[in-house]
Amino acid sequence: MTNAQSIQFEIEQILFRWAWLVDHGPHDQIASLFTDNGTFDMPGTLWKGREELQIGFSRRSATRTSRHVISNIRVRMEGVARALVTGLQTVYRHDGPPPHPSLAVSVFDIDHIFERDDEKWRMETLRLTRRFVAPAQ
Amino acid sequence: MSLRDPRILETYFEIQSLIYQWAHCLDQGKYSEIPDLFTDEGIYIFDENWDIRGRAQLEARYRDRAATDRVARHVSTNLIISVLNSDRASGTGTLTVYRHVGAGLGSTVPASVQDFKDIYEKSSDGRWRFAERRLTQVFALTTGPGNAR
Repeated sequence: MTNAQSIQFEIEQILFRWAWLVDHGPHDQIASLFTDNGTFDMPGTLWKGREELQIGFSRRSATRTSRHVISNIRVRMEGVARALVTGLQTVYRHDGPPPHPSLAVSVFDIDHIFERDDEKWRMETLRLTRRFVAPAQ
Repeated sequence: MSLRDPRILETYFEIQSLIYQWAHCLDQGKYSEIPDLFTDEGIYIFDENWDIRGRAQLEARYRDRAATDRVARHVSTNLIISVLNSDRASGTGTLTVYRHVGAGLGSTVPASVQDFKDIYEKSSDGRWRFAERRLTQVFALTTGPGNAR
């Protein structure tokens, strides 16, 4: 196994962990996946720093059901401790009781930046750009 | 074990291959190969739809499943693995299922989006198999032909 494969694996596992926590909770663990000054940037939302991230993710509706499906992850290194990560995120979401319709609400481009401290890789920037949306019902 | 441990990586890719093989068999109609992807006592549960326990029940389920005009694709993503020891691991992920029966092309809206929660065991022949595969439907196409089983 090469070092590049090892890094790709570590970063994918963190992204999947992020998706799991957003979808299943506990939401108070999400901020720890970011660096101290980490940023979450998507249309209509910009949170910066652990405190804002902690508050922001904890506001998630208790009646929301979602799945964040992550695929096509590519990792390009910038030095030994910084990685530019691209990919796709398909989001299924429904507020309220079942049945939850399976039409995806959005497809996003992923443009994240990861940084590694001595311990592990963390998300420095999590940036999502919406590219497709569900047709109006 | 750390994520940087080479044994974790090796196990991850072996289990990922198992999951992809399961999907390949379902999607390509190779039903007779599915039971061997499970341990002898393997458990395979999908909500209230089925609860299959053991190789014999698995073989019975797929023995008479003839090729039909059903087209399906099982897309497995978001795989998180926890290696419990050298021959046992657990995993979670998301399964997006596209399904269509009949002439023409099916819808791009998934028939179902499911969680999977698995337990894997390494058999004496060195292959990883499902000791347990539990599917839970989260999102579903509620109307239209794409939801046909």
